[in-house]
Amino acid sequence: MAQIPLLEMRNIRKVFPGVVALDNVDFDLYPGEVHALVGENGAGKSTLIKIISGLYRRDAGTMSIDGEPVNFRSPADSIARGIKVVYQELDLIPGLSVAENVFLGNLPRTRWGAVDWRRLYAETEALLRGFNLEIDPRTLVRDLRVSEQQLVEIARALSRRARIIIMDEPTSALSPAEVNTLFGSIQCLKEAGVGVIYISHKLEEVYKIADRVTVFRDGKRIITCPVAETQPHQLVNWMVGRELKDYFPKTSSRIGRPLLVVRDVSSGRVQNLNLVVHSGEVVGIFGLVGAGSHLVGRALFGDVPRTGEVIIDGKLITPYSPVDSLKKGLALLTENRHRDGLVHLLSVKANLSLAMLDQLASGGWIQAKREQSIAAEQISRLAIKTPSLDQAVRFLSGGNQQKVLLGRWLLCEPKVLILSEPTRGIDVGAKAEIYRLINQLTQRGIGILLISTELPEIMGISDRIIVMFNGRIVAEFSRGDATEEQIMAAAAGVTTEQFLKAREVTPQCQ
Amino acid sequence: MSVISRGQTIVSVSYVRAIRLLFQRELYVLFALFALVVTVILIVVPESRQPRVFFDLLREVAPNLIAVIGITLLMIGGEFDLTPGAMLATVGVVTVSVFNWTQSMALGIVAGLAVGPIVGSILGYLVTRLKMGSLITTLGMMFALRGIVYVYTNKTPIVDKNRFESFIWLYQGSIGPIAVPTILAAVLVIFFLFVLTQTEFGRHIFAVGGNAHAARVAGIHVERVKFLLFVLSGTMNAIAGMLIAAQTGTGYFDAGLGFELSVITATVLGGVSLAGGEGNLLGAVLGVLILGMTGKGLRLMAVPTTTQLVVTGLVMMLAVYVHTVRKRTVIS
Repeated sequence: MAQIPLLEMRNIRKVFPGVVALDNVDFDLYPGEVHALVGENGAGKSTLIKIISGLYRRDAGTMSIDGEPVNFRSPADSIARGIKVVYQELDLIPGLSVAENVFLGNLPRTRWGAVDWRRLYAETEALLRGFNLEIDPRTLVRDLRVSEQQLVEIARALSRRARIIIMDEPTSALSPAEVNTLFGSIQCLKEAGVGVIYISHKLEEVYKIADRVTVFRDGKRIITCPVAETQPHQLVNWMVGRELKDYFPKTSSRIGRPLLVVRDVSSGRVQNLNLVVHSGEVVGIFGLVGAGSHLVGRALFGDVPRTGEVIIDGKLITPYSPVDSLKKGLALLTENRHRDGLVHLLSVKANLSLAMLDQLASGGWIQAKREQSIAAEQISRLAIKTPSLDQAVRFLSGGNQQKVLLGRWLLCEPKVLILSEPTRGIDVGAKAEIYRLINQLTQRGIGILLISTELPEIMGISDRIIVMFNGRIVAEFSRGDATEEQIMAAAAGVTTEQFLKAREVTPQCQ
Repeated sequence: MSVISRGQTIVSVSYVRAIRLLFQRELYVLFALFALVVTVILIVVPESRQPRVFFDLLREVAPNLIAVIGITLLMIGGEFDLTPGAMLATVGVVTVSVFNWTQSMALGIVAGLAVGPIVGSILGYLVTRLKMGSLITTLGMMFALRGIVYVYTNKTPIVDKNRFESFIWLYQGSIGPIAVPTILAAVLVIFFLFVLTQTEFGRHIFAVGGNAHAARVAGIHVERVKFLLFVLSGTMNAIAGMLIAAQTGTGYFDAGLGFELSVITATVLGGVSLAGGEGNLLGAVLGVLILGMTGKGLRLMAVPTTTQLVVTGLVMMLAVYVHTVRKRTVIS
């Protein structure tokens, strides 16, 4: 490794209202190095990436590239300094060829101002060959596999002389063979002296490709050390090593008859799912990104087609019919409240009443006063902060928007409520309130299926925990039965043997 | 900013809401623009200073007002319809042809009106079941209908041989000082204003146009809502077409050329979002009045039709500009 780091960050601090996202964090990256960044959701990884890429500005700390202090005001600044982030959602133009995408905005021209196609294709081909990729530069991007698209994205970065490439969960959509192709290309990048920051939930990948690893937890850097000197279980320990805070106010409720029975449900990558949720019970489904756990909620509720049986309180539900699910007492809080929850242009009141309008309307006409009073009641019960019932819901904070959605589903009086990432992107205070509400619901005998990628949340409020990996249930634990390490190992697809073997080795790393 | 907290009650009276509806901020802009256009015309054109001119205007824009209802609801629901103009011609030709075959006015009107829901259902089926984009689908339907009319009429106007007086009355008649088409348009506008703001269906329209996926998850039959909107739009177009035919008692093959654009223009002018989920029927009505008044004033001034186009275009761009400025200031 060279002496001068490509990227050096010291004492980085970033505060959001109510949360310290990054607390005096150090990070560095050397040329030709793959530096893995791991940590739970919300640990601060993405905040750090956004600071590096110029999307956020740090509140304190220093950052330098090649030893030279920098201060990015926008993503354009960071791109100009050779930084490239490859996101999970790629920003390629599907209808253009590989070569056009790679050189977009920078197409080689002939003397006459037209595109110099011959040079374009030749240069692209050379670039792709540079990391072992045999793709015809004339192929349209939409005809490529996802892994190839990712590589085209990287090639594009290289064509702009990127020296720092950040990969955010690059393998979440890839098959094992495609992962190997990607890793081969990363190897080539290393040889070319490019520095790679590699973010992944999958520890096996970290061990396969990374030179050093940094663990973040709760906005702090726990450790940075060479991968060769660590064991997977240590990493897991560092990632989750916290006491569960008392903002999981788990109260015991009487667990009654089975309310939700799922038999052999398959949908997409989710295969042969069987589970039961009882009255008053919280069943947590934990899976890392790509495990298919979110799809479970959609498939059961009927937002996507499925096979198999879903039974609510003895009644079979028609597949692929949200209307029938709601009628029989199954509601779904989706994981993406913006994409498929809120109607942003409508008021808080209209968003609350949306799923129960048929009960509010007599002969099609909405009873305005009843709607008003029901919405007002829900607002006070859930402590939703809004200046008025008629406020457009897009102006509310994330936590309050989430409460509006929760309120919407509660108004349908469901027997079973599926909560998919109920606390995603909301601050700590609002999280605690959501947990409190979940407790109240179970006290009333509602069954909750909680789908989350946040382990503390799953462990904090579930009565039973189901772990998914690769579209299947791989483990099930009772409350208090499992350690965080066990759950994490199961979710990462590591066997218990591997896990225990790793345990026997004494930690070496500082 | 005050914040509603637990225990606080919220006083609500629904007529307060109705009044507030009239004075939503979006509408201020349009009221102001309308007042401006009227004032300019009153000043510049002395002939315009008599009530007759305004009653005439309301009669002339009645078909637009009726068609704008369907388009507005459809556009709030996130879809689009380019058929109004071609529908006008089709309905007129069908109605008058049936008059001439059956000697029955009732049958002719029923047949003409039936064209609306029939074409609307076809469009609705194509868009919601076969998932065809509404812009191109209705564009295709627009050409198809116009073509059928040309082929069928061989480009000759179809004249009502029975000379049904009461058919002509539908457009030419008045009750008191107010024209029959004006009354019809007003009744429909008021009815659909309430449908849009006070009914379950109305709320579903906003939800479907604002976020179709969220609406689906909330148990709304998104496809059914859109299908009904196409049927509604077709029906409104048919009623408008009936009025146009009643104007002269003729099924004219070139009736409604460019009508769809003036209807959509008025709708957009009225603040209905092209992206769906947002809009207000009163705004669209004001849009029709503004465009109608502008056109009327220019005709009174004997401005050539070619120049009228230029002025109408400028008025529209001005209104859209005002809208975007307002939106920017509200959001940021």
